[in-house]
Amino acid sequence: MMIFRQSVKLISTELKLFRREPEALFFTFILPVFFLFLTMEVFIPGEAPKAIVINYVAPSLMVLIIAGTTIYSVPQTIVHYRKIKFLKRLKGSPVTPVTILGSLALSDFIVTVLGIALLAVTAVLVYDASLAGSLLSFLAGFVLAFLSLAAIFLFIPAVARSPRAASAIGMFIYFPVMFFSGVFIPLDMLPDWIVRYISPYLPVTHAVELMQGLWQGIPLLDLTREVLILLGILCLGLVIAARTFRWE
Amino acid sequence: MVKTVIVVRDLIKRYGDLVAVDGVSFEVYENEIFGIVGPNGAGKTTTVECLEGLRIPSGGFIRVLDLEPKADGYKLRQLIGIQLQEGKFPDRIKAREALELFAALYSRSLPAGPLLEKVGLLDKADGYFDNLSGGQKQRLSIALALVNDPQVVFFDELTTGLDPQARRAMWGMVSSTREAGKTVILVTHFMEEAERLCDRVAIVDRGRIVALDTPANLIRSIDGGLRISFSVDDSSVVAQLENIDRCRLAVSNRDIAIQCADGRVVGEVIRILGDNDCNFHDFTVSKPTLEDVFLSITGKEMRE
Repeated sequence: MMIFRQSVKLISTELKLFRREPEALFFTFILPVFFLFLTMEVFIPGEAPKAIVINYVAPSLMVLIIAGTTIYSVPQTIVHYRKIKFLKRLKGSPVTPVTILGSLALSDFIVTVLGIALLAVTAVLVYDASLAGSLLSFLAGFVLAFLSLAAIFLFIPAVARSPRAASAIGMFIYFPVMFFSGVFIPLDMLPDWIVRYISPYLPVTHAVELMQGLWQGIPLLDLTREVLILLGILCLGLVIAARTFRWE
Repeated sequence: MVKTVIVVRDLIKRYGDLVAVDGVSFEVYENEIFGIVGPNGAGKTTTVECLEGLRIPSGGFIRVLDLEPKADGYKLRQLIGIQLQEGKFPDRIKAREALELFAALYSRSLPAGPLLEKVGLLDKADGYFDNLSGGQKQRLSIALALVNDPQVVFFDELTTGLDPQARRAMWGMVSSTREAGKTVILVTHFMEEAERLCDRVAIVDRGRIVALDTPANLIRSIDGGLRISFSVDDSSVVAQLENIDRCRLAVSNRDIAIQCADGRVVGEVIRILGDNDCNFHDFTVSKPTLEDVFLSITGKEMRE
């Protein structure tokens, strides 16, 4: 019960703090919806069937939100809280490390869910997007994508000493990943060598494949390969984080 | 019989080749203010963080409230209050929210309102941490250290970086924490602070305790119980001053400093100055301070 009470308070406080950060609000809620309109209205040629295209664009923009949270928000929060010794102060109270980090991750997860919900509603209402697969397996895929990306990018707070360094590393990862993982540009429009030698080695690529597949109604069983890769990334990330994570 | 709340024996903490704490032993009694003083880098913070269970010692024996900080960490942290050196909180957290957050982490906690009132922050309860002054931030960190009504409270460099007025306010709060029945461990590099507040003081230098006693005893332990200083217009009196027994004379230009064990020397100095009709300025008689104790034990000046 103690752990439950601690987690609820940590999460609700974290969400309150998030609400007071205009920047974070912009990246999670406004930017993805803006990209949705931009892609649909500007980048997609007029004759393309929007009702079909939207079912590629919406799930990949959802991965954009997950990537933003896991590459930027989570590492930023951890590095900042470590720098001001807030993490250490929390550790000095009767709360387990897993509760502290789990609560921080869960509050970022909740924010991501809200961002994705807003994007999904916009895509459905404005562009007639429709989830062809089952909602349950789509949600399961989303949770898996979030967890494995969150875990693998936990190496950022291990290497970055300052929030500024974390942000620089995030930037360095974020942009190439966005262009080579099929988030902005579909993989089949990219040069062959990128698709063959770069994309498969980027974790985000597999999150995009999984989310797009599940959205378009491909059964989870046919996506086993992506699921296994993401599970592998999750385990790898957790092992690295457990070995390199620093509280101060 | 005084109860012992902290026992430390031969505590060692190494970081690779660096020995930060090198065989420290002491005891802290119930309801005292125990000072750990010394220059920056002496190993003060490392020592208390071992007691708080935030660092794992390389060797030695520690008991805090009969608990071993590593093995019984969870239980111990319910009973102690911590204020970290340079510890801060998220910019956009409100004072009251910070207190409510930490209150939820302990199985027993005090309500936020009275705590904020106690540290004089009630009017800032809904102010963001970021917008508090340095002194207010430290007051909040005191309130947070007291939120679980702890038996032992650790204050680490509570007043560093504060202006004299804010510092004095902190001192009042440390005293009242003790008056509330708690045991206080105060880490500081301000000798004056330790002298004013602490019942007993451990002077730490290079990872070792070089002296441990009440401030009064420590000061009494060094030679030169009094220090007389003044400046003269005509330094011809120096020869006569040199004849005074039981004291050390230091002359630089027209500034004269006399270290002596005995108050009677003061009268003698004044008599010599009067007999010679010597004009003097800035005549002061002062007691040595803990600062002088540190100087006499280590041969070094305390650096800020």
